[in-house]
Amino acid sequence: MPRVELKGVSKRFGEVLAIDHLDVSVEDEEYLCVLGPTGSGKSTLLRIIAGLVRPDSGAVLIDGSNVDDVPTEKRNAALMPQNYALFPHMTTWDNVAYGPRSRGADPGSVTDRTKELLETVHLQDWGSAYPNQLSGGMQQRVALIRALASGANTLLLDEPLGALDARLRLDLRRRLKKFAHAYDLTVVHVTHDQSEAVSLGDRVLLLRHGRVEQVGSPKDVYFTPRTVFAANFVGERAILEGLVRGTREGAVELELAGGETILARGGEFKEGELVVIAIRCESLDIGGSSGPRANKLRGKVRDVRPIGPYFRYSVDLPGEIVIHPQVPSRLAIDNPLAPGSDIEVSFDEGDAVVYAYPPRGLAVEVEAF
Amino acid sequence: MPKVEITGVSKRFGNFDAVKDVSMTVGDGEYVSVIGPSGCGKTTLLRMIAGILRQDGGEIRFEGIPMDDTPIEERGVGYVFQDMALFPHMNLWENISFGPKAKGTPTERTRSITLEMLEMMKLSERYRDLPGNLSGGMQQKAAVARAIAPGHKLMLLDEPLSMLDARVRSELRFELRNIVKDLGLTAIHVTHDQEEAMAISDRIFVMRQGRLVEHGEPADLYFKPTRLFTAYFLGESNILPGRVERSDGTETLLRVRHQRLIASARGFEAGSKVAVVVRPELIEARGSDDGNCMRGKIKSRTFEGPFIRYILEVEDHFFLKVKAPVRSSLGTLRIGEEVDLRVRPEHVRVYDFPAGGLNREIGW
Repeated sequence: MPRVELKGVSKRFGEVLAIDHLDVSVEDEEYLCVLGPTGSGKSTLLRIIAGLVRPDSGAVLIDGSNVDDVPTEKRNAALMPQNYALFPHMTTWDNVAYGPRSRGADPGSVTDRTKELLETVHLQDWGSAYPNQLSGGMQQRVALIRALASGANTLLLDEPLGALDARLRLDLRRRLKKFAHAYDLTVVHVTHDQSEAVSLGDRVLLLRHGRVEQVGSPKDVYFTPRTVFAANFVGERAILEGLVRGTREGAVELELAGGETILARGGEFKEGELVVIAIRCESLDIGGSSGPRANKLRGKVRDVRPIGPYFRYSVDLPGEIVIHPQVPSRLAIDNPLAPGSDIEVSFDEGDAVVYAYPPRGLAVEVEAF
Repeated sequence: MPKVEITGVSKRFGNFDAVKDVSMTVGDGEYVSVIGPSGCGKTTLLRMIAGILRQDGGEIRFEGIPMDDTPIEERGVGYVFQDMALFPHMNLWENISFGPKAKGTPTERTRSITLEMLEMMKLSERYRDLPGNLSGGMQQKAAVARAIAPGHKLMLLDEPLSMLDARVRSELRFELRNIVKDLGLTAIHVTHDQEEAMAISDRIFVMRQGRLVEHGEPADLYFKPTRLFTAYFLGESNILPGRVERSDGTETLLRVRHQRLIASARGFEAGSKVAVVVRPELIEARGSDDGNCMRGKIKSRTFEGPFIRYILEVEDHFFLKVKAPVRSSLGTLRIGEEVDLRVRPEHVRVYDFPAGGLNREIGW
């Protein structure tokens, strides 16, 4: 039985349909990442599960029972808000004990539970500290155990790492997953950061306009996005237009704006049809670094930016196309290519995926801002 | 002559040294960023450059001229905040033309500047929209346009992208850099996002606890940081306590637990305690015997999109983070598998062991 289940849930705020006939199920002890751009309905989804927002229609089930009339604090699903919302005038101890106390729990059991929770996150020595005396990471731990103090075993996380330094975010990301695993929690984690979603989630649910755009394992969503929107949003890709020249055995022969022909992976397309091609930036080889590839395009390096583990090149192709191959740093250091260098960009047939041209135009699907 | 010259600037709030004796110069047309953890003083520094805050000591010069008594509106700087701060009741056109108008720019000129800005930001079709009707990314671009429109040559950007979605952020940073470069502006950009800093700037200044730690070009700072803190803060590193066995004019032989490692580093004292740093993505498959070979067992494997991240157990209490491109010979290892890896000596960095201990140096 799924831990949490949404069946045909909709929610409208004024003119905006925030959640649109949504079906979602979260398995027991699953770590589900809900990914989507601002305004896609991610936070509303969490708040509906938590019971803070009542859906207009549809049903929310927790452990198989409809919770429409169950108040937030009795839902066994606790929300950790964005920015933690710790009470600034209360100590760590009081922040954690607040929920159970206010529900009239027996003082002895509150003390035991608070002590135990503080120990699980190694904050037993920080009970009398106020939130502003704690580091960002410590505050997050307090917020986590405060959410769990009432005994919930489903944790709803709304951008839990958003408020932190980039460096700290990396560390805490991993701790969060370990914590969830160690305490057998079911987690729904909302984020706009695709790298966070694919590295944390057992499954990733991509949300757009309140609907599921795609749901699957991180690898599924990352490597085989079903739509142009998903291709552009999850991972960095070159998104190009092309004309179909022919098809054979799952491969599509295409002509790009500059007149070159490439082979790509795709279904049934008509000759002469305008289509969209998405190629993962890290699958674009430059300078013939690793073996033969089905596709080779001549280009000129415009710019190179080192971005830590990889270098991002900007390469001009014929037809005023600019693409951005991402080359692992180790290779880029060994084989530096300066702006102005003539190069060959190569990739496999399977690295390029063909999509039908979106009915409302390409810009609507790939416009990030 | 440098655009901005900061000499020994300090600022204290009560008992707290927010900025302590910071000196830096920024060249004309340069894009620099200042990074560091929360509370390191980077925003305070930017506010002093803008003239929003006055420093307690030290001097700030623009093109050789001291700015100490020059109020913010006469410093000729465009300031972009984290939270955009467009006028909510004005449409995009009015927001962007506000600055030039207020400066008394002739109407025709104001018009052409506003048009140019809208075009550059690819917002021409939205000129009649109120900020509330635009996406976050559009609003932030408009805020940049508004800051540039009065003709300012120096842009000060305080976490300009941090409120935006990751996907928007990763595109906008390159657009921002291109705009600044195309217009020949000078920019100082404060951020806590190290990836953003590397992508966007010509040079990066790293701050910590009010002080400047070091500065340099992104690739130098990332691959050859001179300070251990930088190696820690700028991206992910393996940071291991080790000891020097011997060191000569070309290389240093190190011991980490029971492993021996050679580093292209010199001038360390035999027997001294050191911190050894290896970037996870510079560990490679053992193709040949040169370099440092290591055998270990894969303890964990995480899919991270373009990379697979492994934890490798080399021996008891000796774990290495390894990051391998998905499509490489290391991309398909399984948990429990034994594997031979190597690190080249030039990719092993060595630092004096911090006096206060590792945790104090690389935490905050």
